[in-house]
Amino acid sequence: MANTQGISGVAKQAAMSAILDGKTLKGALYLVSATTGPTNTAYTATGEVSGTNYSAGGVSVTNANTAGLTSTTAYWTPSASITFTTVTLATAFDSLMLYSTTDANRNLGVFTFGSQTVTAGTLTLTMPTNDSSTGLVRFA
Amino acid sequence: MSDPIFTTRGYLPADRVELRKSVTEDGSARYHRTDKFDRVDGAWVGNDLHIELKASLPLFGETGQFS
Repeated sequence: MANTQGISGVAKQAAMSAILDGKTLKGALYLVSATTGPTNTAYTATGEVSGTNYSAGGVSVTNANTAGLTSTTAYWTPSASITFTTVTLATAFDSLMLYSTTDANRNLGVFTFGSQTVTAGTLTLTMPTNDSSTGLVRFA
Repeated sequence: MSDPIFTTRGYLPADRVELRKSVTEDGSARYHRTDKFDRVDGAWVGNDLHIELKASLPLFGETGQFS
């Protein structure tokens, strides 16, 4: 049996755990016209949506899951849907930044989806199944 | 009795608001949109949106080579 090269699963899990486990997280929405992405180091108000009942900085993200590991893939997903209640966001938006207020608003990731608007309604983002195949954040 | 529904006209009784649902999908997510209409005059009075995220952010750990 030959030796194999690769970063260990436990190392990936430890790295993911360091930035996610027990952290206070928030999610902010961004306009289609914004240029937010992985190069942002922290939450930014530039390009963020605005509207009735939307507060700058977005909403809290429930974080009861800890980084999981299956084989050599570490994974993590918020433990509840992310909800913006009774908002009006009339200018099209298409992304959510997940960031950690525990760590100076560190940008954890930007998730894009199709362009949307909401008027006098509730926006709910439902998470995928938290496992090594579909978890929202995966370190493969 | 159902809870009142939030609209551009404030909270309206549930039986006054017609809900029309539609579902679309792309590679990133499935979108469940509910458009709200006031039965009094048929006016559109807002929409709810439920986005089921599908796409995760895979981060690939790669190793280099000793030189």
